[in-house]
Amino acid sequence: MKKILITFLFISVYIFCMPGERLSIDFTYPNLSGDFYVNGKMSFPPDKILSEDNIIVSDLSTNQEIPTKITIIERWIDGSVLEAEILFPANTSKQKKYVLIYGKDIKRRKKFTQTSVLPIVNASIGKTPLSTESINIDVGEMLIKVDKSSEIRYYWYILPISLLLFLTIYRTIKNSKQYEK
Amino acid sequence: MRNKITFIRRIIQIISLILLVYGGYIFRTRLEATTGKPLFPILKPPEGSISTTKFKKGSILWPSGTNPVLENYPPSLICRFNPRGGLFKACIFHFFSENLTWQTHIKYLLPHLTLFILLCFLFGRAWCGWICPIGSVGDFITVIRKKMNIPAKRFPSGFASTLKLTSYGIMGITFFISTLIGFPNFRKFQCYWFLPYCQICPARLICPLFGLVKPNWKDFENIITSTFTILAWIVMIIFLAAFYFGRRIWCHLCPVGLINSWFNKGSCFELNKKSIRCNKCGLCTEVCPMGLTEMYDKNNDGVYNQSGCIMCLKCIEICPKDGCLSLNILGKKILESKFK
Repeated sequence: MKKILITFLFISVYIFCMPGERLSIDFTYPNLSGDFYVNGKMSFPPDKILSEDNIIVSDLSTNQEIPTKITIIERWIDGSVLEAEILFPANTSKQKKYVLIYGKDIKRRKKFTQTSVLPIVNASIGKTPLSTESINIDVGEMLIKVDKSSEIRYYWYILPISLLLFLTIYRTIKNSKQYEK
Repeated sequence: MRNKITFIRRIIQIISLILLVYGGYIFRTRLEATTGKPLFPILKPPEGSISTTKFKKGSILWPSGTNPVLENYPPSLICRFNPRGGLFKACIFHFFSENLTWQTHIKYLLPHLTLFILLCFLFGRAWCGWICPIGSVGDFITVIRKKMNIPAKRFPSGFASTLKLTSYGIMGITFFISTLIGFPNFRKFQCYWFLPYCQICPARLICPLFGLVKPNWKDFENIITSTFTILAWIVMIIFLAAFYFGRRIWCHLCPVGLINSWFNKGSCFELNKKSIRCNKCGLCTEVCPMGLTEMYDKNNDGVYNQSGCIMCLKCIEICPKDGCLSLNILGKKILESKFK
């Protein structure tokens, strides 16, 4: 019994020390399932866009614009947008491609201001320019790779919870019997 | 061994207080730079729901603090309204209250609950006696009383049960209000009834003081906030009086301690008594800060982890009989009373 308990404690400690989310920079998110938000920073060339409303993210399969929350982080010296943080909802039900479109003639229509209780995938969209002289901007198509595994990422916690509760109740009953006799 | 355990406990209390209150300030930047992402799911309000970040400065629920290191909820009364960003986000009571209102999906709560239950299983109510910053503040008040040679008041035997019952009442009312304001028809009440217990909890007023920030101690915007403000004052007076006159009497009333007490008897820490060695001196009852008497009253051998026991180990420290009282961890003896 003691050995089982100690083994379990070691496993629990190990699990708790593991990072909870595994996201690579190319949007591969193998253990997530369900709705989530993609969050990333994007850099733009000077004099290309003036406000956050000149950026849209659309679903490539349906060509429909999806709601985004865009926050400007930094501007070029001429007032155009240098870097913006983009947040948009995604789902793991099927593999999708999203495209980011920007320009002065683009008008964003779908916005959201508040996030729901969903995991946020932090990722880098494009590359941040090192300086105004060496701008290397990688924009365009974004690919989100996901799998369709069940939500074991969250629900496996039921196992240690049950085990801990069982042990607590078992020990409580055992100790109470000793105490009452 | 006399006073040695208490000395170690005081040291741990001070270290815990520093970590819990200033942990975020010390480690946050470093940890974020290393991991880059949270270890546990960050719980956020759904669209249309309220959170503490929505309260304006001066409001009773205005969070004066910065983000914590871990988005977790330990079994200790550490407050969300901590100006330096503590090691943990808030207490478990805050966790339940907040997420009942937000109607957060259970799957996002499971990792947090697992950690909480694990910590409770490992340490039981030792969290109250060794870690809880509010308990440490209370112990400091008790030290002042002792220095002033004022004896602790003895309360009637049924008083602790009454306080425990009151604590259940507070818990029931809090969870009921928190659940109710989560429904769409009642969301308009969220701006005043969100986290009802936190609004009157003494930790909300005490924790900001550690960070040298003035707590939000008055909000007379309307009748509801005024009521909560006055209730907070009353509870604060009860808290100070409880520690000043009756040692850990407050801990019988604390809802976080109440949740911890459910795990106390089954936790890894066991307080054992060998009745054959007991000479019925009554010193264990005399020193018990929670005013527990079972250790003295009962004549059985066995584990004496009562729901009220905060594992301060003062009984082991004071017991004059060799091996009469002992502390076991999963059956293995760690510490026992010794003849002085």
